[in-house]
Amino acid sequence: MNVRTYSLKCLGVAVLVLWVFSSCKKSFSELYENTNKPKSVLPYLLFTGVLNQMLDAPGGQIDRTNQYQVQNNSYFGNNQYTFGSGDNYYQTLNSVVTMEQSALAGGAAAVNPYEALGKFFRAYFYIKMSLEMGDIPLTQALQGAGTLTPAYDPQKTVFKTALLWLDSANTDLAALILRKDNSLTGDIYLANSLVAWQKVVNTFRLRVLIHLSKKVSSDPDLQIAQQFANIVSNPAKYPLMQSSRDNLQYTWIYPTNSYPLNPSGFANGSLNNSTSTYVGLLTQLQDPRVFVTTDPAPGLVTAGGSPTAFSSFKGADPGAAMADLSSQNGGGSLSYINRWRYYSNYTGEPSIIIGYPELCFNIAEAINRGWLTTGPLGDAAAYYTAGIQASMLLYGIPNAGPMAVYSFPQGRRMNIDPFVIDTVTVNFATYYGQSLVQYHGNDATGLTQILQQRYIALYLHSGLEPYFTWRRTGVPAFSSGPGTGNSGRIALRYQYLSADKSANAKNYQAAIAQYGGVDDINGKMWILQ
Amino acid sequence: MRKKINRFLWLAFLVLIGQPLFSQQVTADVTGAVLSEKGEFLEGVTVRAENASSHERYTAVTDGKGVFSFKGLSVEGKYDFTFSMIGYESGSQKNFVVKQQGQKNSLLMRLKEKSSELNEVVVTALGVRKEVKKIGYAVQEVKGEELVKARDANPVTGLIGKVAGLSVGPSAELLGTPSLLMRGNQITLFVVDGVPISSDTWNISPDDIESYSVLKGPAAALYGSRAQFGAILITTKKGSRHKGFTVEINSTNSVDKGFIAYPKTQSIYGGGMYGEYAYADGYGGGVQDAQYQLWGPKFKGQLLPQYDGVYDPNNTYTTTFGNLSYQGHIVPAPYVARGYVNGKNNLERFLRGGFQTTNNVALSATGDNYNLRFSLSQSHQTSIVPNTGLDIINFNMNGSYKPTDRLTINALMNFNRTYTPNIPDVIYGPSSLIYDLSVWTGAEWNVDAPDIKGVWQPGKVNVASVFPEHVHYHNPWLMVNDWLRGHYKTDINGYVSANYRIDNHLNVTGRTQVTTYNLFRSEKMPFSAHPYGRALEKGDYREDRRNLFESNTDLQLNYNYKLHRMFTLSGLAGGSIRAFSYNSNFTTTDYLIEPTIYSFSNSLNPIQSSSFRSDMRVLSAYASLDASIGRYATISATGRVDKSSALPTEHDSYFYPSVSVASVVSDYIRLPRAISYLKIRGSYATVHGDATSPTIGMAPYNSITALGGTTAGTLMDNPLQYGTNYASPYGGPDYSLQAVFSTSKPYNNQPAASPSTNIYDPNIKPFNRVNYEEGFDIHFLNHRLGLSATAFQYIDGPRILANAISPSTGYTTYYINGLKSQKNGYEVTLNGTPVRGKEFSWDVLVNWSTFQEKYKELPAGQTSYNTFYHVGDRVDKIYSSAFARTTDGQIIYDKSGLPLRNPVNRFLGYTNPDYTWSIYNKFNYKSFYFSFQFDGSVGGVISDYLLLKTMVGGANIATTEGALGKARLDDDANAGVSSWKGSYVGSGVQVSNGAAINYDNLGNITNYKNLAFAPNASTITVQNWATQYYNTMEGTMVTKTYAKLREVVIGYDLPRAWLAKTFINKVSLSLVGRNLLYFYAQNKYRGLDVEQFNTNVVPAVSLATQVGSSALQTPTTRRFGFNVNIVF
Repeated sequence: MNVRTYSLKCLGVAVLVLWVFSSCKKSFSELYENTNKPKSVLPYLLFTGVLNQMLDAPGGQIDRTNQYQVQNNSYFGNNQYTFGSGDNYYQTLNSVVTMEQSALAGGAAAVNPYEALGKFFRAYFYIKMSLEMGDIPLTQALQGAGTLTPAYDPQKTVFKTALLWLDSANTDLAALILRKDNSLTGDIYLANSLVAWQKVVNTFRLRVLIHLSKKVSSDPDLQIAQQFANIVSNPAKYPLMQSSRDNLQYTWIYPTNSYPLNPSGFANGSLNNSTSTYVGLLTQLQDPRVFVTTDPAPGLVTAGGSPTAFSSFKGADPGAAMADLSSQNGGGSLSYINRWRYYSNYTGEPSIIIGYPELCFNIAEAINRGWLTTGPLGDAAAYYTAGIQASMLLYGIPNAGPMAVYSFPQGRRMNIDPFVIDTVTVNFATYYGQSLVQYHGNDATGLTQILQQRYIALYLHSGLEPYFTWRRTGVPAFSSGPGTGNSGRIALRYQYLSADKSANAKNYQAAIAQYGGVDDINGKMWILQ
Repeated sequence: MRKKINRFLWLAFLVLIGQPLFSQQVTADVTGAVLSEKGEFLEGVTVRAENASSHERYTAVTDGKGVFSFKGLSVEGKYDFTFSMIGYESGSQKNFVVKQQGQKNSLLMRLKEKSSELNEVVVTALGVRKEVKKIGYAVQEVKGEELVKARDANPVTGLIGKVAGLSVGPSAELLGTPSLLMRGNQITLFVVDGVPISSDTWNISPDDIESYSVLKGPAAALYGSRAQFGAILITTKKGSRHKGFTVEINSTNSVDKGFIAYPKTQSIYGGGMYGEYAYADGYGGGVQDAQYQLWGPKFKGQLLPQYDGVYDPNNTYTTTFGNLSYQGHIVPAPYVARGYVNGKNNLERFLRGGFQTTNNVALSATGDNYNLRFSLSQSHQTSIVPNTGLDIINFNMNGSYKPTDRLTINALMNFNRTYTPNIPDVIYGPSSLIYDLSVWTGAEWNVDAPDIKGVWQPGKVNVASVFPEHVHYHNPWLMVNDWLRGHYKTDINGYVSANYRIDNHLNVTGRTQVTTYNLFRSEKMPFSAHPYGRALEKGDYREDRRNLFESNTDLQLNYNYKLHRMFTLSGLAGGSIRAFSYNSNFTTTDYLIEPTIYSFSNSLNPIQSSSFRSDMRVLSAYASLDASIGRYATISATGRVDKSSALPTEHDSYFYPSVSVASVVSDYIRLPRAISYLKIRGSYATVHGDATSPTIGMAPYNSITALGGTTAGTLMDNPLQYGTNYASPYGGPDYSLQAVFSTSKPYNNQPAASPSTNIYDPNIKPFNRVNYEEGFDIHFLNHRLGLSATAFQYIDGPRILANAISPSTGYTTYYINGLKSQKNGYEVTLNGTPVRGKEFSWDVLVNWSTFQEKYKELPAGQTSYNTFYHVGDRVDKIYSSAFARTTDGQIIYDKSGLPLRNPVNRFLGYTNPDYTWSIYNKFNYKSFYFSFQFDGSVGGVISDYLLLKTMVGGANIATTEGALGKARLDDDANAGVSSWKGSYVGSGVQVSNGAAINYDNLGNITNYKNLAFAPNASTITVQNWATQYYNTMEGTMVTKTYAKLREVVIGYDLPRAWLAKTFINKVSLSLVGRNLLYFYAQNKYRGLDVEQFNTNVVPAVSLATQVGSSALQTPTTRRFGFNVNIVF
């Protein structure tokens, strides 16, 4: 073999190898694609995704902001109102936009369930962000690279726009119900029922209007009272929730979606205490719900207190220093959340996002404020009573008669030792008959009663509603002190989404100008003025 | 001028020594002297004289004055003189006729410095060997033999301190990957004999490596984007140059013993909180008996219910702490520090001495036209953590055959298997025994106790384990003996190449290469284990399988032309195809039905699985040109074009140019005598990067939601809520530039989707880096001392920037070309031989380097980047939580005695060190040698995560010393007292006039004028104070300044005379030591081996850490060993 043929053979082998390994079957553009994930999806998948974003799960910071629970061990957190950025729901809203587009692309009519609920979602998430942060981008938002620096809209615009969306959502849903549209799928809350969703939309709209209670006279163009009255008095056009069965709520299921407080995290139960803000109100009102939601303070029971005496329930002061809370908890003098109800199983209670008891109190408040004089259920007292009873029902408290109450003194072992079962006798009439509870009338005292009961009914539900309501009304009185930080002040707003500091600096600066150029957590936003 | 003086001296000298020799004889003496070209007398030159007719030979050696003499040479005889010395070209004087004694029988010889010493050759990109003097950039080569004696567990960490500008962060963990930072950027490209291989650094066998050459910046331009941050070139050993058969055996056995970084923890207080503890079930049924910290009661023999106490259902026992009375069924027993035995805590008694043996046999055979080398390496490492270890088997075959003069065929095949049935998971979390033993549990239990060692509760074998706590902590024997993490990786890489010499100017090389790995990782999690997200304690089994295949095929033409006396042109032109494909799958049970059956069919809930695949192709063409202009300069230029499928097709091609100039000034300008060599050099290159990732995790783009891990849609998605997401080598597309929907099953197994949170500039172009480098190399005193100094400037950007945009756009990230930063740095290498004698010599190598990187240009329209950074700011500034302070720097306390935290993150220092350094010394005395290396870095800060957690958790011994220790005793005495407010008073002030503190957006206090301050007077418990203080990053910042006595080798080569009659050619024995001394401020409290955190990205331990923070680590040890090297 001479050198030439040899080298030619080598070259031949090289070419062959080259061909084998390069396997140039795919083009560069085909190779570029990420084939592991979809490039487009059906609307129902986005719908399910958005629904999951609506939940504010209990067992975390929200419970402390609402002063339902405190931390007693600073390693695991604290009770300070040192708010950072508010929630970023713009990505969720982008999902909503994509869902609407995807529905249209799939051949849906201009008015379709995804579009109608899309309006509701916009209202829900924009309102939530605005309640947290104040003015927020809306009209120029959600345009991607089209508008990289959206201007901030005044809070009034956000509310006005949201109310229009909600009205439009109600109209569209009515039309869809009329034509018996059944194209909605992917619902995890209301079994794809447009009828149920329509009630949610209108119930939510009353919540939005209630948040504007300070703006009734200053901003007559919003027609706050009129809208409220119009909705309540026209159930045919604006159906509302009729009972807690209509609640928009997140039902916990095992094993995929366990209640955040459950036996596997039992040890966390002793890191938190129930607060004086909540427990103090219940014991002051001799409210049987305290037996359901709260454990008696272990030290008070071992010192001879009865587990069914209101005096054995002692909440922690959220304003107290962490060090004091840890000493008090260490001495057994503070109550825990009721471990039987919240830690003995994996499904806990459904977490209400928008619910019937709140609706009752919102209508009662509106009547108290004189926005309307009566609704289908009657006067303010009727709605107030209905709200309390709906809440009691959710806790399984009978109207009258004996009720088993469960407590968990120290030394018991979860899942091994039984809970201590005691019996208390409850009677709604007796409860309601107390002067502190009985509706005082459409005055300031009556309003305080409504708001106190609303606070009690929203225990571990509906996200930051209790905090927002305290901020608007001061009821119930939130405690402050070294434990709440912020130099003893309870913050009034969340800071803006931090990326805007660099990425949308001009508009960000313009938005915080009203707070003296500081993204101030103590700043008073428009609805509070 | 100097030469003239020398000549004069020489003549005078000759006259002097010539004087006494007069009378006529048959023989005569010949004397002479040998000088260098520069006129220095040369000592040690071997002079041979051979009689041209009788062939009688004589030898002499020059003395310290360069003089030699031969006695008794035949008068009138013709002699050929030859002069030879290492480092000089040999000289000769033929036909010297010896004159009568007394006449001028003298010789003067000038030897030219051999270019070979200066013409040292190094390997450059694409495996091209070049003379150092022609290279226009800094290059440092490390001989493989330097890394095979005092070796570390990892094959690459031996490079620490060997190369200026290369920072190696060795991992403290078994199978950890060291971070290799070249000028601050992670090197990810390993090139073997000119072709890239996939490497996790463990599949490289140091015994098969001839040399490492580290390409810094511009040098790597020929490799394209994978070398954008540099490359490590490895030249494998070939068969020996001498004909015949050689066998080499190299063996190192070493032990790991004696900690250099060990957390010093207290054993005065046990587990619990606020001084309270009473065991009921370890799940929270007792008092602080679950997820406790080491703030429990003091060990003083008091009666407390404990984990191994007798359970008595018929009686209750009351334990009282202050106001708290606890009643339980466990019989209380004396509470003593049972885990502290003979001065050693549980961790120290749990860990054992490590051992590593590494053995290599290499056979090489060389003939006229072939060259073969076969090598087998085996390494076994027994970790200091019981029942964990690592094995490596490596085969290497390397052959070259020349069928004709013109054709050379080379082939290499390397097989590597790195495997272990169990490696520990070291991370911050319950899956890590360091979390368990270093931070959260103390002397309330004893690691050697029979019940603990027995692991299982009686009657609940394989179901329930014995331990004081069952929520966050684990019995360490369960963790190492039952909770097993296997790792089995097989790497194969090899190539075949053929080089054909067309003529003296041209040759062509064709080469095809394959690099591929197969990785199988498994986790057997027993019942009773409860890492994050797995609270039901019902075990699990997981498999993680990954396969990578890559081939690089190239064809290149090398040329070499001398155009003129003055000009030579050489270089190459070629093209290559890179084909890449990767696939992986991750499958896991969702709890087990039966314990110990680690099989998917034993899954309690539905099996969860995720898969991933990717393909990629890169076509490249490249060329280089070296033009030498006589002895004045060499100008080199390279160019490379890549077309990569990892970029959008509109902009998938990019060009990398580089130009460099080198000029050996001493070749054409006469310099002062002391300077024997001076080269100046400069270079420029532009490199680009595509959308690829050097590493990949277990379940990229996964959508498993059942286990609660991430489904973020990146290559590093961890489907679990715990554990290290092992990053294996990748080099493929990361798909970061395309929008995809993420899918998941967030509720009741119902699918859901959400759109991408990213948007993309449709005209996005590859990453851009412009490099400049300037430097000089200077040698003094006849090359005794060499100094190499380099300055470099990198302009990085516009990057492919994942820029945070206003979330109100509906997206969080906009991929654009933007953000420029400039890095300026300096590197100095000094090497020399201060002493060079016949029997004793001393060599020294010093490396020093520094750099700083600053923002140069922010994304369009932005005046700040990431809130805090502006143009001109260093990019490594750390902003994190800090204390509120008065104008004079005192910490402000709140009314309860807690230090106040500023609501805005504050500047806490720079992560990068000011400079890094190393000094290597080697002394040779006869057959002995002794070498050692010190290295370290100065400057930079880091948050010490171990310090943070041990202070916050009460484990650190500092919580029992000084004022804290005193106050802690008070806290213990008042445990359970509801009104107790502690006795510790932190140092600082309080606002005394009740005014609120107002801050601006940067955290500056805006109303100092309204605030009156008085010294802090509030007492507080130690636990509350320490938790607040050390949970503030500022309280945990520590220096990164450290130094290490890195390696010590004492070697002895058996004298050749002893071996002369045996078949053995060489035997060397050495005692080796590694990481023998560690110098670090306050190592006692910190237990931090800081060097591994040379980067913000903590390799191998990536969770639970923040920017500028360290992570938990296994204590690090000294290593002592013995090396034998035999050649026969």
